Amino acid sequence: MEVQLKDGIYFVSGDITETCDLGGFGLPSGSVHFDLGSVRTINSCGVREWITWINKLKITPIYSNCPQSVVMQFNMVKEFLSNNSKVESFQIPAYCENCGEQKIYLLRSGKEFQFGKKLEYELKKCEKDGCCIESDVDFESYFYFIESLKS
Amino acid sequence: MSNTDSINIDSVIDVQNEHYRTELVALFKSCAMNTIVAQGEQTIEEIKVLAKNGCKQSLYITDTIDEKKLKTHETIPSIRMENLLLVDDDTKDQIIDSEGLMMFEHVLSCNQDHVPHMQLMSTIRKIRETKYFGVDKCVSYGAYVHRYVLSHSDQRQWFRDALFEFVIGLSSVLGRPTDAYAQFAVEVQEELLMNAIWDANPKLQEVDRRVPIALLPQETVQVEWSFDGTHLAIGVRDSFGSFSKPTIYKYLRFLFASEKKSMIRLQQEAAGAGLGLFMVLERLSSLIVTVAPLKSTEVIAVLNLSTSPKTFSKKQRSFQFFSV
Repeated sequence: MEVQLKDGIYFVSGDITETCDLGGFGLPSGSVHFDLGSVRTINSCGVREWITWINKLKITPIYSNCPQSVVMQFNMVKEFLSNNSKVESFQIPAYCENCGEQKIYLLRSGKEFQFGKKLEYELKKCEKDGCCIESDVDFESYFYFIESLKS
Repeated sequence: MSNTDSINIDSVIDVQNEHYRTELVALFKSCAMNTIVAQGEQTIEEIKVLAKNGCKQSLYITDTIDEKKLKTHETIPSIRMENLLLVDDDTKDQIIDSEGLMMFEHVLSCNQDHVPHMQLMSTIRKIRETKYFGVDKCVSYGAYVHRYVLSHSDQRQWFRDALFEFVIGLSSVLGRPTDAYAQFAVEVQEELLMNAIWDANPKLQEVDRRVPIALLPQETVQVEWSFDGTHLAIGVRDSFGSFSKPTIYKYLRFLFASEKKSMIRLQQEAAGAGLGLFMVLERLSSLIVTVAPLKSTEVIAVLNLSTSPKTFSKKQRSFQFFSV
């Protein structure tokens, strides 16, 4: 796992495992903005370690650009979203069998979704004829964390 | 003429669904198995007769859980029963709350009104030939098996990268992106490796996992991958054989929960230390655990890559536990 600071945002990339050590990046306490868009995978020890560091450093995290690997953990490990965590945006991977195009939709808090409210979302089709873009995720389970998190 | 290298196995079919029953009889006939169709108290009598006639091992196949009957079967001397439960969309919710699930070695999902032919035949072959280990038995014949040995915990990074690339490379075969499958496969492999390196090893169970560890030659972990065009099998084998049946059965019922949301809720309530196991169960199609007590445990996760990741988690799943 790597963390790089750019324009006040901490960009996290790679695999979050038990070696996750947020203590080495000079993170401040309080509100910290993490862009998780380049997180590839997370293992069970990595989730626990991440939560431990967030608590230890007294961080109130703001997560943005969360990929599927992260959203799956939001849904499974509720402590991931403790400490007044906020999710600013998350990704929906999608694919169109007709044109063979892979697309990532970004859903933003306050725009496409509101915390505490059930999300009904429909993927926007592209302008090509016969576009049959379809999400790679099951919305019912994927959006579960949105309903269970307070705004 | 019989094959002298293999053992004889009979089957007792106690299935209420008439369609499945007919199909099972025909399937077992094609496998040259002696098959008895029985229901109610008849099964006990039929198993007694099999034992009396010298049958040492028999498959008992049912689509309902009757704990009392299963316990009575266990008391019949000199015959070993392999209990196999068939579930489908109509019955799988019933097993979630049944304690009797623990009495089954095999729980297989029926697919669109058909019994799982390949899994049944593979199970019969394993028992007959007494050859249980290896991912080659979970994929179609001819699929290449990649074999590796892990001797240091730091090598997991290589395994993560290599498997990720391997699955990404399958997109040309499958004709669609495989990014989500690559993520699932790597996360499953990670949990299986951590289990084999630390949890299975009595010396390392309490060791801080953040500290890299070199394994002794007798502690090394064998890893296998194989892809047959549809199924990706990932097998991880340790040298301890300490995996116990209750460990997995505690979480297994969630694998068959049909309502995804309720599954997540149940997971959140009960995960705790079993988070890794949950992560594995959520991402696979089949889980096959083979334990040679105090010698070796092999856990094989099979991911069916034939459909989009969206329907992946809703696909029929199966679980098998072989104690050899």
